[in-house]
Amino acid sequence: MRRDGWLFPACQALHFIGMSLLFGAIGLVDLRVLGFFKSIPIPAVLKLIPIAIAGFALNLSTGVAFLSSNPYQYWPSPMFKLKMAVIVWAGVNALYFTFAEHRKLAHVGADFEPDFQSRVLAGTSIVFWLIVILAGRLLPTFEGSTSFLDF
Amino acid sequence: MEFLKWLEHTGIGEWIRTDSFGFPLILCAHSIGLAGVVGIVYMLSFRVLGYSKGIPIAVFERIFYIAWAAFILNAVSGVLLFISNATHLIVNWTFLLKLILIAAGGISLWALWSALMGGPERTTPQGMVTRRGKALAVLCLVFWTGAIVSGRYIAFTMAEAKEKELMDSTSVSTKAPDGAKSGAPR
Repeated sequence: MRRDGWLFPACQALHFIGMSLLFGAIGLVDLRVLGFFKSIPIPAVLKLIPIAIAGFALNLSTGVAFLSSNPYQYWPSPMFKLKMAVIVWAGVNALYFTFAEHRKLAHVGADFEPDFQSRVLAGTSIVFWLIVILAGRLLPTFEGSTSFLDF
Repeated sequence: MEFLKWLEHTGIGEWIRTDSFGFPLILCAHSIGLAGVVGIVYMLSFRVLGYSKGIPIAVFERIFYIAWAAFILNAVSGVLLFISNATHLIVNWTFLLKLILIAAGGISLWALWSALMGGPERTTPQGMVTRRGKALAVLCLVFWTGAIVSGRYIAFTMAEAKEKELMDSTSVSTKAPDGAKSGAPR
């Protein structure tokens, strides 16, 4: 991957496609749970979750490829640590939503509205994924630095 | 070319190219916009192609407000990025390809939406999508994905072009950091 000059941008392009899949799907789910676009029944919007998972899997694999191509460049970077921490946090958030809320929501009628707890989860989810995009975009800026104060 | 050179050396052009926050900041805006525009185009296309049929197609009329906001964000940040590197970008084939793909993506999205709103989907939310609609949805997926890929390659072909330029100019012996070539003060 380091040697072939075209492979790296190809993986980056895939990473951006995965990002669009993940953010497009999870964004709509979150917005719907938050109470926007009420003409979409809750069970219907939840069917988008596998698209989000597919996008995440694509980005996990290309992400691991970036890391293995140059681990020393990424590992010490504060932005890399921030991105990973927020992904883990967003992941826990998503898992909690899936196991605690999704199971309830999947079997409800078309006119069901989510409770306050679900809305909080949806709100944090959309904010977390936005932070992940920003932190990822800022990775090259903090390349070679070990602190946010020094780059 | 003179005009492009002037653009590059306007205050905003210099700031984006040379300030350590300028370029990353604009790129941040550009990638958020990308996720918004392409994310929504993807979801509409999947729905049209038969995924999650419980989502009424007409609701995308309102979701498009978000897509438009994201598109405007990217048009503005895109123009700013262009200003900062105008003379290089205008001869960069990946950049020109990206513009063509965005235009093609926009036209197919518009055609798809007209087909959907003129067809049976308008009155029956769960209704069948015509074959023409599905074909246009595939075109949308292809063009917008192509726009991402070509956009991603711009950074790459630009770095190559600048490196070549440095090698060609004999006066510069060491590799200057990206953007610092113009010698503009920080």
